Amino acid sequence: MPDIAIHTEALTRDFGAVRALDGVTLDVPKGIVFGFLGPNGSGKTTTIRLLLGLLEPTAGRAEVLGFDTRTQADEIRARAGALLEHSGLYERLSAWDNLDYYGQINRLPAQERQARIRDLLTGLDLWERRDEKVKDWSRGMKQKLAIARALLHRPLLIFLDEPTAGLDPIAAAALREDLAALAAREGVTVFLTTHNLPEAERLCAQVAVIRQGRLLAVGSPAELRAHTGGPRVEIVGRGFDEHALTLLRQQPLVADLEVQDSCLTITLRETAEVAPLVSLLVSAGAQVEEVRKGSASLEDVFMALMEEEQQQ
Amino acid sequence: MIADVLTVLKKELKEALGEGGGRGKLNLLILVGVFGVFIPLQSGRAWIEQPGMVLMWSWVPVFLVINVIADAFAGERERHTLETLLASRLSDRAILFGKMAAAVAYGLGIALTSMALSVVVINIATWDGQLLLYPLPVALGLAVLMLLGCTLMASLGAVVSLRAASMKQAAQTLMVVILIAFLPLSLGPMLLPEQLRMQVFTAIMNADIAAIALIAGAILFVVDVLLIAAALARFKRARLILD
Repeated sequence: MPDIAIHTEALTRDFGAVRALDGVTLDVPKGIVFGFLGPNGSGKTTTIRLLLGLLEPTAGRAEVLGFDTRTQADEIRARAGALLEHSGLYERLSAWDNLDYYGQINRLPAQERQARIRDLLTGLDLWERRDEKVKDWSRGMKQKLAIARALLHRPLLIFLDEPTAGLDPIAAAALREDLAALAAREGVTVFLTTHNLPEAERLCAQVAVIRQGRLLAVGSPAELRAHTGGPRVEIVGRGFDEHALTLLRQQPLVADLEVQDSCLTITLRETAEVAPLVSLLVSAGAQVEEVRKGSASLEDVFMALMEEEQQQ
Repeated sequence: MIADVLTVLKKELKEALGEGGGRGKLNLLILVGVFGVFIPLQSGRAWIEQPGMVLMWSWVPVFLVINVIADAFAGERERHTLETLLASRLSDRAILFGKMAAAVAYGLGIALTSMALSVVVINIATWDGQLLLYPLPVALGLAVLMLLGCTLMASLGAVVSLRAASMKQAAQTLMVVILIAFLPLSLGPMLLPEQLRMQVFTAIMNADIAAIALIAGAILFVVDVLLIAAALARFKRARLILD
């Protein structure tokens, strides 16, 4: 599997009577940002711990960068970087000392280490503050530094566990930008867990959705959107009575309709011109104020998958 | 593995010595001042001429190890930095030995600095034209005893800290263990009748210090080995992650 960074087969982990991960089978291609989505307590962190060989699976197996997590965990940890649930920074040390420590741990020669630290800190706008103790920094700056630490030894794969959790929207957006730029520049495979769906949609080439330890779906955001719902049109106005709605339902293009307050949402079977539908509504007596075209967001997909899972 | 141990050791020492900023460094200076200047001056030339005197103070570095070792394990877990370290390429042993070595180096470093300073201070204060030094076997013996004492506390500290919920709890537990161990030694003589106490004191002062040090060293060595084995058995990645 030369192009696969992570491969799992029926990966399962129990904590006593609780099954945290339930038979997860997954392939993560090399060189992409892969999003692992799920609500809190769905098994995301456990998956990362298993993939890093920090925990042993109860059943099933996993290979990371071609190494077995049970027997070759040291090889995996030497080639991977990680930003786990907490930033893991030494707050009593400076930013430079934090990176220097992990550079030494990863056996980077002194000169290369210094150049690499300078490069990463400069790229993240932290160079001027390299000698400050980390405890005085904002959470956003700490997360950036922790990402720099994870990338320091040029790993082939990095695990990021909720990297923007707890950040304000501006800091989170800035971190996402940095992350996307770094991932592209370094050509590294990123395994990102998050419950922030817009974030996953913006960053990830592929996503997997997990709930209560079970994998619900895997694919590109576009594939998942297509699977769950087609393109949509939102029409704001008045007079969406039963007559108008019946006329719309008779159109072969229309898959579904939903009226909430003054907003009519039409799910289409395929992307098409919406003008005929609007004309139809107007001819049926509706007053149209605004028309918006769109498609199901990853959030819609996620919610739909959660509902399906709950119904089962 | 030695390079990895040294990497961990250096970082732990940097944190321990930098802790508390200027105030932390002042505390260190006060400590060295008390054990390197004040107490030796109280004792005068006997501080060097009667090694039994220094032997009585040789347990001091053991106390210095407590905070460093509790911080290195329980403190690191409390501050959520341990998991990231466990996710690195370092082996369990390199992390364990690096942290223990840092605690030992801290306690031993302060003790040996104080001892060296005391020799200078005593010579200046009681100068009679001749340099007064510890005989080499005595100096080496003291250093080895201090090393074994610090190792004892570092390994015990590792075992206790790995079970403790917080750094504070770890340090308190270690302090209680130390007090239980040392109370009989320090309070015991006070409970003895005056005459008997003087006899015991004289006997200690006139005893074969080398033999006493050797026996103490052998006992400490055995206990150290047992505690290090216990710490090694306890310090396992999967177990620490679940903690």
